[in-house]
Amino acid sequence: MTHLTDRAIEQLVERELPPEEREAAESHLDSCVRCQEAVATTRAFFAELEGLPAFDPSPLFAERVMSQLRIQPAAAPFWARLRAWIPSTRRGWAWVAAASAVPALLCSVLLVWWLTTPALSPASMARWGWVWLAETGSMAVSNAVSAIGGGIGSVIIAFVDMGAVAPLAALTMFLLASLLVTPVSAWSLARLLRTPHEGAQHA
Amino acid sequence: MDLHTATDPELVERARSGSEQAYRVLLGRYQRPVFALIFRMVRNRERAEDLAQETFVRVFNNIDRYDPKYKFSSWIFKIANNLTIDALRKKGVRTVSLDGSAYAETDDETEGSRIDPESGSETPEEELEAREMGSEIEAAIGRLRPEYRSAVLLRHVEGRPYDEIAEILDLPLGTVKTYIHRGRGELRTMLAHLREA
Repeated sequence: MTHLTDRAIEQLVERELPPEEREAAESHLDSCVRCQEAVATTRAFFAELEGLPAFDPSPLFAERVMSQLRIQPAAAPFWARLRAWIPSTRRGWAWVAAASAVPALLCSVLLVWWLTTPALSPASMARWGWVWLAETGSMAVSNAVSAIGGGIGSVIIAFVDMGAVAPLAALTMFLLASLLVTPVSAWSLARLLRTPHEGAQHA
Repeated sequence: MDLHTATDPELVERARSGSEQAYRVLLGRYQRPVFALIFRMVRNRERAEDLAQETFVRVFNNIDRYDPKYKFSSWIFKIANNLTIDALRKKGVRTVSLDGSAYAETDDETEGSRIDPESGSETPEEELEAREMGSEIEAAIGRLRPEYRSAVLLRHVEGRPYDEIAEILDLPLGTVKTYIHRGRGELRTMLAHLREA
């Protein structure tokens, strides 16, 4: 009679024996006292191992771990990140108003100069704008197309070149940007006036 | 969501979004098994606490690197096991003395490193027997090679399935089964005198 191997007995106890081998092993066990005893011993041995006590770390363990963690909040969504840039104090608004007032002021000066200079009529300015738009537009497209093969560095160089050969274009772009900044300047000034002083006490 | 009933992947997700409570629940869930595994490996409470602490800090501070394809428990046990095996190797110890930890440097530390299992027995005689049996088993486990020891502990004390143990130990399934079988064989041989008595 071939007895069950130690490994087969362990697999049988752990229910890891494949079904056909299990069937054969169980049928052998029905008639083999020695293997029955081996199965009982293995079962008792496993129970002893599984009954080993649990051990706890010291009560301060959790706090010691927590004190070493670098818990970081998840990346905020776009609008939340944008809101983080909006000042909440009067001083913050004063900085935004001052920074945006410079181009707005320059734009206003240029506008006054334009309106008070007889040589520059709205029609001549419109003509100049149209010519500039056509020239810089075609230049930008051709530069972008030729720089596609050369990567981002070539694109930057192409646009710097464009600014160098067309300072008028650069000036116009600056003026357009200044025009865009003007409402920001007005808005931040309004917020500055509405934001209470940091030292103000509520009644 | 009640974090205490949340699954590990849900807690990891919360932890990643900065929830301190999620970290605390994960810590509460795993501090006992992780500490127990390390304590049984090094048999020195202070050293085991340091290694367990290092395990959790490493796991939690790198939680973004956790791959949800694998079980969180596998990941944490894997790190705990690697740190412990490394610590044992640095100490140049392959087995642990019957009388106490290899980390013990004084007699008091040696005495203190003896594992004193709790007992569920009812009579003083039974309690004495259980304590002795328990400590003999613990000592025998301590004498296994570290690779067999972690495999046997993960299987029989932590109740982990074979495939998870293979993942934790980074070994083929067949090797894990062989380690556990051999580890059990060595334990039986070491404990044979108790059965004969």
